[in-house]
Amino acid sequence: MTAQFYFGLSLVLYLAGAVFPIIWRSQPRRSSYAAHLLSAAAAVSGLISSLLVLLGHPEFKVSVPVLSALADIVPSVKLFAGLSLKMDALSAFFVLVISLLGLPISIYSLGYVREYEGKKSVTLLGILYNLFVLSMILVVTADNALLFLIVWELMSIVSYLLVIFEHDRPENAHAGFVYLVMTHVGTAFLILLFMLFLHQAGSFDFDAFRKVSGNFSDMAKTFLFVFALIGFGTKAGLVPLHIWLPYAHPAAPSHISALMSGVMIKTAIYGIVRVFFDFLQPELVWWWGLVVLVLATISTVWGVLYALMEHDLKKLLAYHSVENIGIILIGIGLAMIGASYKGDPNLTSLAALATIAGLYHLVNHAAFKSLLFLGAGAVISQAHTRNIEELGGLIKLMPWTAAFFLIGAVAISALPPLNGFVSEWLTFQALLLGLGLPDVIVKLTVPISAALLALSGALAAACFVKAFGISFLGMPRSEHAGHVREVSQTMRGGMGFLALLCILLGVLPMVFIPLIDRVTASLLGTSIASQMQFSLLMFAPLDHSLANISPLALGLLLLLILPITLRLAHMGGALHRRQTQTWGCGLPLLSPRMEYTATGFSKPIRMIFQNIYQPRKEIEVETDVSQYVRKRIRYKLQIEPHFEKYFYEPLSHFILKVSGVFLRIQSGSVNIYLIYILVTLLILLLLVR
Amino acid sequence: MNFAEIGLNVLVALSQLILFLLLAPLVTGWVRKVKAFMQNRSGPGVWQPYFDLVKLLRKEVVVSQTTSWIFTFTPYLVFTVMLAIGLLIPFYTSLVPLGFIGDAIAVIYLLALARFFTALAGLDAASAFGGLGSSREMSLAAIIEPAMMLAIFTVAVRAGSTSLSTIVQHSGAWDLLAPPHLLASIGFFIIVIAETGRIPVDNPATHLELTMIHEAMILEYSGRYLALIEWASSMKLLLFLTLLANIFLPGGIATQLTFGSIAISLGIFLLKVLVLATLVALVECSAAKLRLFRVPDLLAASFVLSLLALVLYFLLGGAGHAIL
Amino acid sequence: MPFCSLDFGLHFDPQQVARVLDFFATFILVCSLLVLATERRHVHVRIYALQSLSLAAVAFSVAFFNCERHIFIATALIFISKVIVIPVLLGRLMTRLIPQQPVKPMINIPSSLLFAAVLVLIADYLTRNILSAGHEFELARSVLTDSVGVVLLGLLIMIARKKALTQIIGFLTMENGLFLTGIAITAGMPLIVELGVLFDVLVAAFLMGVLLYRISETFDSIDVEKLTKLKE
Repeated sequence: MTAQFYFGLSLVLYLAGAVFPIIWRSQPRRSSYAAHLLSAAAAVSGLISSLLVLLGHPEFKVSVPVLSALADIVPSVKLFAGLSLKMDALSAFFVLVISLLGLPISIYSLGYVREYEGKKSVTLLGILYNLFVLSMILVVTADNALLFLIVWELMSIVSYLLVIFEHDRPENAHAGFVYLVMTHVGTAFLILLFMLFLHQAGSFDFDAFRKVSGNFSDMAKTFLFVFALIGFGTKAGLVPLHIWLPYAHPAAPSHISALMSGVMIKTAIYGIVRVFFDFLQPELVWWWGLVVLVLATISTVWGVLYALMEHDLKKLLAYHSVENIGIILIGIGLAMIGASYKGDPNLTSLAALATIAGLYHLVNHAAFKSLLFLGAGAVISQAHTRNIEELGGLIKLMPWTAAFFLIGAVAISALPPLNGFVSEWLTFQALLLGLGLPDVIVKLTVPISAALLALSGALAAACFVKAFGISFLGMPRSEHAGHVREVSQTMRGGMGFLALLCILLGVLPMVFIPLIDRVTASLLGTSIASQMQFSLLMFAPLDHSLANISPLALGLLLLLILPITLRLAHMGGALHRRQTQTWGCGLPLLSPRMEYTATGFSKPIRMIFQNIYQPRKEIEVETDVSQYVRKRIRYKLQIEPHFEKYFYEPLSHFILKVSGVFLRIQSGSVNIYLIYILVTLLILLLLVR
Repeated sequence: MNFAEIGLNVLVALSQLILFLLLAPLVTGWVRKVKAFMQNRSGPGVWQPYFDLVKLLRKEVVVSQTTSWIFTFTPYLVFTVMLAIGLLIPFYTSLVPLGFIGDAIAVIYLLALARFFTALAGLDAASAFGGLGSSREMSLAAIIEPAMMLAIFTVAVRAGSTSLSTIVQHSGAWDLLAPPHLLASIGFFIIVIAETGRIPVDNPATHLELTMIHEAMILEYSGRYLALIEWASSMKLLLFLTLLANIFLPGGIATQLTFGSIAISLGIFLLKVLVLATLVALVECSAAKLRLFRVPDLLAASFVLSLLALVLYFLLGGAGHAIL
Repeated sequence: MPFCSLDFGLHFDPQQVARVLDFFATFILVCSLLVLATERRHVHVRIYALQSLSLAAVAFSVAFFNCERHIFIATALIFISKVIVIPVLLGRLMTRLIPQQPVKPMINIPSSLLFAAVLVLIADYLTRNILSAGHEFELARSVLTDSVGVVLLGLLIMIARKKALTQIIGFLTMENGLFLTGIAITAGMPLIVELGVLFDVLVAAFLMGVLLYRISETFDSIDVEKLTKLKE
């Protein structure tokens, strides 16, 4: 009963958070406190409820009483009567992730939304914030396809409103438009997917879907796969469906970006896991997983390559979401391949391990990406620019923000002893085991996939050396950057919570992984926690002989050796330290203009991967007296997003062309339209006669 | 585990730590000596790196005003990470007491951690040289890492584990004549050259802005900090030579902790490392430094060699034992 | 005069002998890959010499372990022509060629190496079908894979690189691959055929060298793209 209670409480609190701010709409400060404190409380409540379920509380259903009552009175509502929410292990896991982020982000927002006081309606922001989190909770708990689609749309529309929240910036309107179009294309495919299910099951209930998985023909199954992949892939930001992501995420206010990157795109992962592992698991075909694996690998590299070329701090982080979704889906794809070979216990445990790797990376990505977005928000709120070329030297003025951002950067670069490392390690182990999969094509894909995963890890490290090094270290590159101040305590608190989470997830995976194992056990029917050999110090995938690491001991080891290092360094006696200027080849004073820029930093990578980037350079030289005396040099560099140029542009041209054809029947006269209706009606009547 | 066994393990761990720490500068000195010999110079003695370190440790540290705590913290972190790795890899016995803490993948990522902070420190002083070095180092690391991961996969598939002590225990099963061994060891050797910053990838002795990579990053360091970083890069050289010796030149490693076997395997280990260090020096003398943008070509070769070893022989051929 | 293993009264396990052959054959393959991995001409020539040396080692092993005496002559000829004469010839040619701007290859090095990996996998697939398990040549299968791979790589070198000198190296590599097949699989073609082929190669290398020198003199470059001017 308790888990239900807390779950219900959290829903009520989110609703309250969406309603109460209206009362204080004239007092922005108070309305923001109402919205965010309520959502923080709701997050705590959701956290408790989901943890209870993951720790063994039986799964439960929450029906919507209003609707069933209504169905008794108005029979036509009957279709909606079955709408209910269900909290099983998978849903609980996602509710856990949402709540785990909801809490710190709500705390952070207390300080952060002050930025908007007087400029924008803080009340509206608070309401949308609560609705957004609520809609995500509903998406991952909906137990009915119709309800799922409704809340999915709610989530999309609320997030669209948040993307265009600062609509006075022209680029945000464009971002919102791209987002709206892409997300609806995705929803359209989801509707098709559920229609196919409905056709077999005769009901929108997820329970009914589970029963009919065997009834599909091979053709229908292929369609199911394609629809689910496009529908959920769009939301997840899987290449080539990712194009909205780098526009939409940066456009929203930073705490919303944190939520969008941290959890909203993960609802798509929820959808993929729900459809493939819950509904269709007995019917999985091996090449489905391979397609997911290949697309995920491409996303991983593609996302990080474009992130490296980006100098807009938030856009850079958004591209990293494409990368990390790729890493998550490498695990999921591998699990899909493994699960498609039924009956082989080794391959089933491989599937379980790969799922755990993917889901653990999902939690980790949620933690460090939202930390980074919050850090970026803190920087932007102070420096008033998102361009890292104009930042620099912030570490001295914003030490806390810098430290938190650094933790996030180390975590996302998959460096030990933080959390990104643990999940990438698990993914590598899953890939290594994946070499044992029977298909030759899989055998060839897996090592390449592993190498590309390593490539993306190293590129991510390069990218975050750039992001952190250029914006926080060195000298300030602009006036604004020189006058920043440390952000408020609530903002620091929110970031600190997430930084702590990154560390804990990094050194204590043996505490978190058994929770995820519940999820995989409920999906795949095999619990591998017992095989994973946990102890406080060690954990190993499947078998102790395969490999083992001990993140906790690794962290302790580094801490223990540090005094030895200090002692050794002290052999030379007391430290004499003299501060002076940076060496500037004899020049008296280095100016910030002589510093290395972010563009310069990423140049070697641009050169190495120039076949992929195809950069366009323009150099304009203005000369004065002779061609050797240069007055001004302009350098312009442009890297085009290929998918937009070579896929979406032709597509939109084609659609416009087709629309042009239809324009002929669009006269604008109402009478003509009425004739169309009449003709259609007559034809239909004749057909169904 | 009884008291004596714990004592023995502590002893092995400590001896490994001390060996790693003290032997590293000697290997660097040896490589320099061989290079000098090949170039018809007499060159400084093999003990010179020790004198350098002692001198540097005593000298005053000059720090740029622009720097933050990252700059001060980095040398200590880099050194600490290298020492930690020294406890994770097998030197003269495949029974690494602390081997359970991290496997081959963890070692790669620990190295990446050290590199991450060194690159940040390069940017910290706001000097263009540091930025140049960081940028080049991170870019090259990005292409080294996939090749290295594939090499690790190749040996891991062979051993059925990514744990370094298991890999080394299985290294005896490498057939020296077998084609995959040839392919994989050439692939790994290229990685060793690239990772330790040797010619033709990087020149550890250069201070010319056109060619510097690692040296540019640490240009602002002096005194004690420089000593720590130099010492750490010696340890990195020794680390990679050790991996090469113990994985690809099988035989001689002690699999039991008895006094006799350890003494023998220690001798064999030193010999192997010395031979490999000489080989590295010979490569350095006979090759010209590659242009920065030619380095990917070399690493692509390493990548393809490892890939062929892995796919052709272990996954498709009969030479491998499927690990599942 | 005792030459081969039987003369010394030694008996080797044929399986072990096959492994020795396999080792050298793989090294020949690695050499072809390395030619693709660099752009330096003198390195190409050195690698070619090394590759020919391994070919000579294969020939010698076949002659020694299988007591095919006539292959000793082939070994000597390979050694003289391919390890010494041709590399020296090419080396001298290089000193006479006009130093020039680097020529951009048709396919850049990393991608051509990936192509090479694919070609080797194809070679593996092809030979897998030719010599399926249980065949009497099963042990020689991986040697056959290597030699087919070397031939394909030789072709790839000729396609991917535009410098005439590198194309010559590609041609010679291909020919080494064919020789490897001849020696390792069938334990040597008749001596006269081998002599003929060797002589052919020598003449071909010589002629190509002369031609190359002429191209270089005429066009100030050995970029074969320039030859497209000839049609005008």
